[in-house]
Amino acid sequence: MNSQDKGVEKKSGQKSQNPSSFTVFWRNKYARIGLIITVGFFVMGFIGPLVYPAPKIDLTEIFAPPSLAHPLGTDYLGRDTLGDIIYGTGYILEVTFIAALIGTGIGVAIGIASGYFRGAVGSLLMAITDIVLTIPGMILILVVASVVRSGNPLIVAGVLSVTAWAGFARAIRSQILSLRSSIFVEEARLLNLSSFHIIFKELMPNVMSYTAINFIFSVQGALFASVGLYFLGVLPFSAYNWGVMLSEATSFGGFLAPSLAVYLISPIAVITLFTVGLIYLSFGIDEVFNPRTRRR
Amino acid sequence: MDELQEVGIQAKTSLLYFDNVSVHFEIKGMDKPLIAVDGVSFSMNDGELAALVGESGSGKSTLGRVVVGLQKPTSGKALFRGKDIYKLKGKAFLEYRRSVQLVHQDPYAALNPALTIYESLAPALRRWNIVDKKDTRKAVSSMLEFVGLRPENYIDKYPNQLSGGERQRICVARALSVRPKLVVADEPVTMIDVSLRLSIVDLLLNSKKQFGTSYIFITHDMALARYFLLKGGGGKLMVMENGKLVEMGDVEEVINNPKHEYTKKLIESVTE
Ligand SMILES: Nc1ncnc2c1ncn2[C@@H]1O[C@H](COP(=O)(O)OP(=O)(O)OP(=O)(O)O)[C@@H](O)[C@H]1O
Ligand SMILES: [Mg+2]
Repeated sequence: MNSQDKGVEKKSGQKSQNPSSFTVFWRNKYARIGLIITVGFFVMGFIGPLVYPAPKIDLTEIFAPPSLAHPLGTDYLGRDTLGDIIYGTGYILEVTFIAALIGTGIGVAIGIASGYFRGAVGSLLMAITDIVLTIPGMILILVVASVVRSGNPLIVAGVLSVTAWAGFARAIRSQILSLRSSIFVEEARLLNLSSFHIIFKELMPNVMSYTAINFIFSVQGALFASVGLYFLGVLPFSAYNWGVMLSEATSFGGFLAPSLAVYLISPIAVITLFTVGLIYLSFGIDEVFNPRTRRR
Repeated sequence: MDELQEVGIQAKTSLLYFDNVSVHFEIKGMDKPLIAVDGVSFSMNDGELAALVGESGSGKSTLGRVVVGLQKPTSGKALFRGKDIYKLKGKAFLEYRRSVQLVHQDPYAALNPALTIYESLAPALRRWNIVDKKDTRKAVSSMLEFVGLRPENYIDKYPNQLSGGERQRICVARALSVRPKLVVADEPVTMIDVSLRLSIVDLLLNSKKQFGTSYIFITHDMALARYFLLKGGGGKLMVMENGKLVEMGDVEEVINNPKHEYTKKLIESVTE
């Protein structure tokens, strides 16, 4: 090779090892905080009940203020508010993450299939998506939830994802449409690489960042929707539920009585913290999944 | 079978045989189609070099796309080893698909930004069983070496970490990885820093020397076409204007004795 080639070499002659995905993620301050908060909720939801005593009805301690025994006070039946929150976390995590998984999974599958396979299959999938898109999502959820009236996390998650996937599927489809006519896909076809390879190895990685972020925002959407359904009493009353807590706190006049403030603020605070964790998490995801923005 | 008898001995023995190939594009709102390629005839033998020169919009890329199987001609015969490229089936199609590759003008668009260099190069090796699975990484490394890139510095990089010249070397490596008989290089150095252009052209010529790869080198730059053909030991210079091949012949003959006005103009514009 001639001298010009040496110049080429020198320019990128630094270490070739790419930082691992986790390193890239961890370098982002917000992502770090988001991850800690989210992992914290998982610990609280699934390990908390093993170490923290279950809240018990104690009519001598109704609406007790915060104390050592009850760090966040108690509710109208004298149950420990922190215990209510801890024991309600697992359920919220199950509902929101399963709902996001279903909505994002269906969305990405239908989006890719309808974008990649032109012809009858693609048109049919797109027609279904468009029909679902015209359905007012929140109203349908209210109707379905009030008919189903089940607190089973799988069922609630299913109800929440009835229409959630459609907008996402459409967005993925439009990305796939432009990617499938890109030059690098043309090159893959010239090398006779399979459709399987093109879909899963060439196209999917390019929509991963968007998909992951959609997943995070779906968790957030499902959080608000499920809390809302319980708050409105559409879903059956149940113990250990953030939405039910919120509903009870307001119905007992939490806005008026200062003694009830902690009882009302507690579920609002955890919902807010959970949301902040998710949003911060999404900041790091783009850096991990999007090699275009990846730093050297 | 009739096809073979019909077009005769040259068509049968040639790697590529184009007879009166035209490509028309229907443009919305226009009553007449745009004629991008207009009755082009030429042939290529194994190991032969050709340079296709012409101004922007003269139809060079479109003709190149017909050769690599991406643009079905509106009329005419486009044969690979005596058979119509756009009617190939089964084994014959696979042989063609592997034998004819493209190096695209834009090395920024030709590599998947989400894949590392290894991930871009390995699948074709696996697809065509060129190496055993366990030897894939070694094979990718030696491909990188062939195109003048030190493997350990590049194999796990993403395209956005590389310069245009480096990317184009990777694209050349990928095109050559399936050991094609013919490569269409469509303005392979146009988007690359001037100081690195000749080294990439030399790289293409290296593969011709080592593996006997045949090339159709597309460029709008007469000087570069001449460099390519002369350095490569001679070949066919084809000049295209408005979709037509207006001149075709051995490079030295055409340069010394251009017949067509357009060719003369192109040669004169290369002032030395
Ligand atoms: N897919 C297409 N649809 C419609 N018109 C096209 C298409 N592809 C090319 N053309 C037209 O055909 C003509 C020839 O284009 P082509 O890209 O082959 O020229 P070229 O010689 O490669 O030019 P350049 O040097 O700019 O790359 C141009 O007028 C172009 O606009
Ligand atoms: Mg072109």
